[in-house]
Amino acid sequence: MRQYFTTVFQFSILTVGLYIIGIFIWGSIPYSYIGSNFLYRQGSYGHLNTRVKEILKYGEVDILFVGSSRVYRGFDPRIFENHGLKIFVLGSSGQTPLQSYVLLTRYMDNLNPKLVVIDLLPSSFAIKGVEPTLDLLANDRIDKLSLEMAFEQNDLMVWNTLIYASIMDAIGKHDDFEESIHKPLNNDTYIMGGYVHKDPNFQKEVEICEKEKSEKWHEPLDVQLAYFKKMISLLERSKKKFVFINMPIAHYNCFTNNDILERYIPESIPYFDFNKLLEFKDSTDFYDKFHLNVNGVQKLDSFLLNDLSFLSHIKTEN
Amino acid sequence: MLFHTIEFLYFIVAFFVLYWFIFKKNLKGQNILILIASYVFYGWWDWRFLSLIALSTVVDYVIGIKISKSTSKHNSKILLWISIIFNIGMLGFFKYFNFFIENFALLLESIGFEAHQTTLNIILPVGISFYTFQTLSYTIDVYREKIKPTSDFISFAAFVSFFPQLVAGPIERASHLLPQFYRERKFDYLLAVDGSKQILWGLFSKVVIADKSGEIANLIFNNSSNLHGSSLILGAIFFAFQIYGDFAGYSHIAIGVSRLLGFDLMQNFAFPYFSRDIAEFWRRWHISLSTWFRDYLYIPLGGSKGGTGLKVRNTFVIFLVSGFWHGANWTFIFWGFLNALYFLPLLLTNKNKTNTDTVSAEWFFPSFVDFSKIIGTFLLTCFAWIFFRAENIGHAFQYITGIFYNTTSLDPFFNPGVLGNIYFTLVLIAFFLISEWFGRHGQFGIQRLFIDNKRIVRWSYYSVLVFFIMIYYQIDRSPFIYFQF
Repeated sequence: MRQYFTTVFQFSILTVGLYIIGIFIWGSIPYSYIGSNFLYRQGSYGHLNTRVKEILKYGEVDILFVGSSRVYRGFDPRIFENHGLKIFVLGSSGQTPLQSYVLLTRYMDNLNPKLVVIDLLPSSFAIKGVEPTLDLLANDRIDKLSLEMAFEQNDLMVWNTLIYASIMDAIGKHDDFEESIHKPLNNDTYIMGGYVHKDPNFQKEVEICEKEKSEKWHEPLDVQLAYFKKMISLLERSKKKFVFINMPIAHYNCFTNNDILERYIPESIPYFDFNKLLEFKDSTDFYDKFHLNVNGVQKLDSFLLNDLSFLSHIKTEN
Repeated sequence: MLFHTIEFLYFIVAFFVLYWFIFKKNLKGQNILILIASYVFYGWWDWRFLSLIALSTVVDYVIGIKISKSTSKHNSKILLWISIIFNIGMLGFFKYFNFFIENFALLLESIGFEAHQTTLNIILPVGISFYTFQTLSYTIDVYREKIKPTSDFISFAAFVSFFPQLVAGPIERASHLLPQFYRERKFDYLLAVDGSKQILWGLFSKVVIADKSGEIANLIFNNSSNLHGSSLILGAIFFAFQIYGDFAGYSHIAIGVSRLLGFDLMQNFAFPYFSRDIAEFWRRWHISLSTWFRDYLYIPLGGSKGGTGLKVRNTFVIFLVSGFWHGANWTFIFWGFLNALYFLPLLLTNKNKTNTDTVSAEWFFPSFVDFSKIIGTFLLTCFAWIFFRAENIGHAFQYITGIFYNTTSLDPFFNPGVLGNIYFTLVLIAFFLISEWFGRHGQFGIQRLFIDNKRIVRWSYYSVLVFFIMIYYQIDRSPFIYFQF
């Protein structure tokens, strides 16, 4: 028996070593990610690679917006700049509270915002968030928070990608990637300050909400609620002002439980549900179900800049 | 509880510790532990199924004893028939009730009668096709006086429910497995290493070969009416590897786990895709089932003795029953029928026992003749697998028709991602076949592979297998195909 366990142990050591080498080789093979538990894709949808590199040179901001693609496609720094406000949009595709916590921990001090605005998307609370974790592993720094994300998700794809990203980081290749500002295939252009501008001519069919087709948001997962609470603690400890928002969506009235997250928001924290505060038209303000088009962005950002209850949370220079 | 899940890993580790450390020199304790663990394992699927296996166990235990105590051959025969009717009846009800009702109704309607169908929402208990055959082999062998009945109920119940082979075989014979429950089991290092290697090979066969091939086979079969012939040929080939990797993979894991516990199970697959003719294929594919049918159906019917008419009849009976055993669908029956057609010429020309040795045993590569035979046999089995995989007979014939419609190119339906997946999977299948080819002298692919090389070479190869298992293991895991039988 002892000989068997010794053999198994020795084999395991060899296998772990060869496994790490194997991951490194695997990552170097084109298209190896197809159908496999590995996805190290730098320069993916949300321009996260460019965004996090920009932070280190960006300086301090008035408002920091945090959330998923709804956020980085919803707040245009140029509109705020015209009103004397400097903003940064810290988001990634499909971002959940787990990744929001990680990004805030990493970059809030660099940006030192007067106000942090966090988007609460119900579906982001109801998923594990493997894809946004992979996005962060491939496009952001590798540190102990990366390990924390891997432990939380406990997913083979995440672990394999983390191993590869760590090796790339160790050999100095992780930060080599230069992301294109303009991505014609996606009709996207990255704007300094974290905004991703969608070509105005791009339009998907936006379903007009019909009440008969009612849906429900799924219940939040415990892990996401835990990180939501960690985010609140982090902000409170750092003595930052922060508010929660619910970004507009095209088929808001289709959902019967839009207030699903409200019971988790502490009463002392302001909450702005833009679907109730403003009137958005499905057919003219959105380019798809979840994202504002240029008209919608203009409408939302202008509203914020004129809304006294929102502006009272920050000092303006006007 | 699937073999390739984290739950099974926890289960087997806990079991292993209890088995070899707590109940180390306590044979009865080990058998009780096996019985409890097997019922936990089986009940994990659905606790309601436990009553069926318990009932089957009690009935055949009692009948075995009564047969041996019977002084009259007539009474023994009656008892045997009770066992047969009970086990086949149970299998027939759960597996075939709706099939017979639906087809009887169709038959009545075809001759002008209106039939009101009453089908039941019957859940098929996992593994019922396997353990009923296993217990039947016990009562039949007791009747034939090949073995003595056991009075040790715990050992018998453990034999019936032995978890490594309970839900998908190998279908063990009482004469081979039951005595192992009476013998003290000592931990054997070489047996454990062999078992570990076989588990590794089984996991690779299932997680990498079967599941990767299955992704593409499912895509093609589910869209077969829109695809070109070359794609359909590819679909049949991928299914051939899906079913082989899946079923052989399960058997390897079952046998490997048993070896870790000091048990020896029968070989269930012996490199069937290197067969040189169909007869050889059926000696190498699902060996435990084909030998069961040979010993308990084919030979009692007369086997290959007697005239041509008898041989033809018996061959068709065996293959049709074998097809029907797989499921309540005309596709399985047709698959069996097709295999009977393949087999008959060999039988009638007395060429069904020509290829009994290891193919190209003395050679590194197969000879041109052997290679041609292997390819020919493989293509015949692939053709038959189309019926096995198709949803129904109509789908199977539509699929086959499609193969001849257009064989010029792959479909534009396959985007770069799918094509990439296809190429990767073909490389993996090539790796798998090469490993099996060079390991064909053993009982499974990697048993004797690199056996004469240094340990570092063998272990590096095994590490490559581990790597691919981890790279391709899917959380949303696909169950083993043969669980549905």
